[in-house]
Amino acid sequence: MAMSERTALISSRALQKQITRRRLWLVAVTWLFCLLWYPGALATLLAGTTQSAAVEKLSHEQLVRQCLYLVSRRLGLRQSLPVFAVVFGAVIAIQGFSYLFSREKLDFYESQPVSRMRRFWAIFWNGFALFEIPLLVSFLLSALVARAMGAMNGMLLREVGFSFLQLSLLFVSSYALGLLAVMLTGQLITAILMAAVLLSADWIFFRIADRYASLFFRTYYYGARPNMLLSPLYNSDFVNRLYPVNTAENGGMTEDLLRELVSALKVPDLVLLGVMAGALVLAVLLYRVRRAEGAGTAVLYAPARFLVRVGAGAAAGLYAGQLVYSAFGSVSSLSDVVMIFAILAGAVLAAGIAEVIFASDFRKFFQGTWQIALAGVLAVLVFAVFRYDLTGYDRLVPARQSVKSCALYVYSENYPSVTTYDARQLDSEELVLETMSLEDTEAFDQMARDAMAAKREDASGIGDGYEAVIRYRLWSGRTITRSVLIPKGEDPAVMDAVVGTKAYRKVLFPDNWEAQVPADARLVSSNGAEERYGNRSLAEGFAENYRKDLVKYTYSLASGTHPILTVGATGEDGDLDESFPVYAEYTNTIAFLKQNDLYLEPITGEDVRAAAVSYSGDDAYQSTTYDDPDQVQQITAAGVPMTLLGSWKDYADYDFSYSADLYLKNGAGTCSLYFLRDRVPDFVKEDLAGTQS
Amino acid sequence: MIETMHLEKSFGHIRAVNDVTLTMADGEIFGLVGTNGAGKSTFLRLLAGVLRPDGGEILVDQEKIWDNPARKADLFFVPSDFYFFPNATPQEMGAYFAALYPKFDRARYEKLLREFGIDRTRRIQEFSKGMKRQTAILLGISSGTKYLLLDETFDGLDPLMRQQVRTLFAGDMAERGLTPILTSHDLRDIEDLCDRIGLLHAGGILLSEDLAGLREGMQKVQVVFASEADRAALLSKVSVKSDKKRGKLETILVEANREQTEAAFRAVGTVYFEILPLTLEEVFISKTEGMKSDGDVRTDSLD
Amino acid sequence: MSVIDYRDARPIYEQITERYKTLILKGALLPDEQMPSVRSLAMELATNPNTVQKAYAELERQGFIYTVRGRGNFVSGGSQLLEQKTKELAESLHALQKEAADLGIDWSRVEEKAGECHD
Repeated sequence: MAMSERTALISSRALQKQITRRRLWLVAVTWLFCLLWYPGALATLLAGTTQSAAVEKLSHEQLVRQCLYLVSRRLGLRQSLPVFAVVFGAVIAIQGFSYLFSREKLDFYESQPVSRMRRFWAIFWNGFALFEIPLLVSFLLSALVARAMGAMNGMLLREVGFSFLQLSLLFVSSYALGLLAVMLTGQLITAILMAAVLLSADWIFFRIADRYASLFFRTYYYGARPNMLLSPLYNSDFVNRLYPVNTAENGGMTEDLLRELVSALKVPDLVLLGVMAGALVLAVLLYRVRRAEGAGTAVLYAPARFLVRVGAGAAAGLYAGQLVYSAFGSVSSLSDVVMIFAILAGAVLAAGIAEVIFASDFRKFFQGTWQIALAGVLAVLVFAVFRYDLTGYDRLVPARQSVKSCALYVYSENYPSVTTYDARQLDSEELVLETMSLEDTEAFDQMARDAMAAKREDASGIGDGYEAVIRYRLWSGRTITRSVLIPKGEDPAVMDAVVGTKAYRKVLFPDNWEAQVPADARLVSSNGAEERYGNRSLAEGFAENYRKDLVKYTYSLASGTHPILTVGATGEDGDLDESFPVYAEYTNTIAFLKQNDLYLEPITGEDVRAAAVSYSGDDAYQSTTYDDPDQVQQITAAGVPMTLLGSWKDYADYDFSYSADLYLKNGAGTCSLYFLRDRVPDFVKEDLAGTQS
Repeated sequence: MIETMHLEKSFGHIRAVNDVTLTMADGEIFGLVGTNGAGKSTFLRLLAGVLRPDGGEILVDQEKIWDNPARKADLFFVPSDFYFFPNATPQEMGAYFAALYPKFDRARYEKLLREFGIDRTRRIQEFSKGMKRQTAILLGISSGTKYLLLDETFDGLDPLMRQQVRTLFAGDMAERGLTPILTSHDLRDIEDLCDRIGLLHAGGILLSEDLAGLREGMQKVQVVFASEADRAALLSKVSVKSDKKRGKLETILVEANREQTEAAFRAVGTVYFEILPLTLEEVFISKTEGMKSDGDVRTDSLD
Repeated sequence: MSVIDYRDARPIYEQITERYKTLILKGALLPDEQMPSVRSLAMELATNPNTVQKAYAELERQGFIYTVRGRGNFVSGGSQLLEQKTKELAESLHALQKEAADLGIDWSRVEEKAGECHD
């Protein structure tokens, strides 16, 4: 008989070996990918950089900097394609448990002397190691390669460590969702589809809601997009979305940035962990009760089939609806009817097809018509919620006691462009909305209500008023942002109470402006035509005085008058990087400018030799030049230099069909001029448009 | 010993196994016969612990088999489509099972492969259907398990292969108490081999009896009765399963043993009667027909 | 015995029993000679060992063989086997006689015909 009879069942090591042998191709693919993607690519890039550094005659420091940047880019938190971890997670999960789909294989495996849960965990850990070990080894190898090329330091090592953890987290959460997909289905194809659904359902729902909101909510604000959702697929891009990578010059990793990134990742990572835990628990439960006879069935559980069918139906219906709407462009009874029709058609089609896939039988298209009906009804309900604003989105002004602070961004305001490097690359709009912290006063509340109402009633989208964005930060942590239209006729006292606050004015001139001005820059002032330059050392003085004068900035000042000068700093190439308006009331600043030979008088007719006026209307384009001093005087007095248009103005304040170029005496340059509404001289109108005023 | 008590298994509306109570004793060959789709494969899958019963119990050596690796180490399941790894050779499959089954005898496996003329290094994919089945059976035998569950046991095997397999069974049964459990839709396949037979019809066990007893329990009698009165008298004495008449000659299937039958016929007036040999197939057909017309399912449990 | 006749309607164990009875009575197997083991006979016949066991039990019951524990089965000696067989033949004869009577055949005619048969 047998020489040595053992009584023990198969050892864990032997079981792992067996499992691995069945997926050697996947092991090979994973190793190959990881080794090429990380150490392979990194070595190539670093070698290439070193070579081209010699050609470009870069200094050693510059080379090291470039290399550090490359390493961070390749291995770090902002690497280019972290989504591959998500893909591997789903693939490895499905491949590992695909035996559950085959009757033959189930007969084979489930009759063997291995307990079911033991087999589950054996495959689970096998799949986990299948990805994690090549990943770890690749990271270690890459770190060694970087070190060998002198492109590694303590901070980078930490970043790479965090990055490894992040990728692992993306992997396991996708792995768990892949497992769940397998446990819900009985066929390979449907498992793959289910995994895709689980990974993208939240994003799909969001996109649909977003689209409908943008179509029907007048006060909808486009900028408020979620950085993270639930799915690892969407969240894999979290860092790159929030902190897009810049060039090596100002895009390298710093301690502060690293700290900021790690801190920002806390919440998304918790979400991923939660998703992973939830999916894994559910998958294990479903595995425990799984019946072998389920093999071959498309989706195993009636509730899952129900959810998929109704969900897919509603989503498809809504997609069809918004697709159809784009043919209309605006809301009407006709568009409503057609949309509803398209929604129902899409829902029926998708729900029917879903059932066909479940049953692998075309005749089952109309099976369970109540589910199709439900999908259609649900889709139409969602449509109605958006179309008729059933949740009151356009009417939402939060209760004042629930508001912690607010921000106001007005498109016709002059905000400084962002000069400081921000790792998140926010534009000034995002920056203002994020940093401004107004109190929710009675005036603000009044303005907000009026602005919301005006926007609601503005069907055309080009309203008479100031397009703006309001943001509320609630005590609960929630943020509400709306696009609004501040009416032109809004009570100036109310507006002054908002605009004239310190919190509002704070964003108009950066706190650290003078510190940011480059050493080789110059100060420059302009009256719209001429420029005067000053030494960089004057920056501090200018800033000090400007801040003093800023307290005089109000809505009434800005909307009622124009600045007389602009002052800013400029770089070597002569481009104006920044310019701040100086009003006649800014006495301190004007005094300072005068003291330092930077002051310029406003342009009058006497400074102008000739004026070339153009008219571009619907019918014609005409242009004439005037050099009669009287006419020139009238023209100059009727308009404002382009660079001095100021803020809190809109189209109604000017007549843009006319424009002028003023040629100054003494070769002092040219000034572009825009005419104030109803101030265009009659003779100009006669000459150009052939009309009387 | 494997026992099932009131075993139930349904797939949707279909009751594949319907209140089956059976005992399969150690060291005996149990044969399960039934029409295609009667539930034989399902039954075996339940015994192997692949499927979970909806009702009732399965006890293998006094323990429930479901998710019980200790007991599963004592049985080897060979379904009608045995799964081999793609590109695997008999050698590789042997190594795989050797790791799983504590008593797997690798030396014996190699020897058996040689005896059966199976090339251990050739890909099983390329084998004929019979050779594949053969290999599966050899793996089962070599695993040294007490129970060997074989679905459609001899399907695809030529007469020589069948004899070889039966010889294997004989040796292992005598030597180590192997307990084979076989299914087939063809009675002749296992008629001469089994100690006990179960007839599975529409998920329910029609009868489960000792084979010898089965044969002895029914007699085929050709008779010409002297008169109608005699005929009636006889029909009242014995349990008649079927009665075919051709002219005056009647062929009656009687549910009784030989002695009883003889006595009953002698006791009435007959011109002529003769007890004919009856094949197991005829026994089964008559029982199945009877059941089909009755529409109910009997459960005969063994003791 | 090397092969089972599957066309024979009798159960296999009966075939085995009959075959060995004949061999023993004819003297092909001598008294106290060892019978093949259950295992080897089962393998030779490619049949269920329980069937062989049953046959052996029947042979023992009829006195044709005896069992020694731990050693195996052996052929019985003695004249009682012939006695046994004589009894059996007599029973068969009786049955034939009855059959003739049932059919109304004269027994002397049967004997006459029997005498004419060639062996």
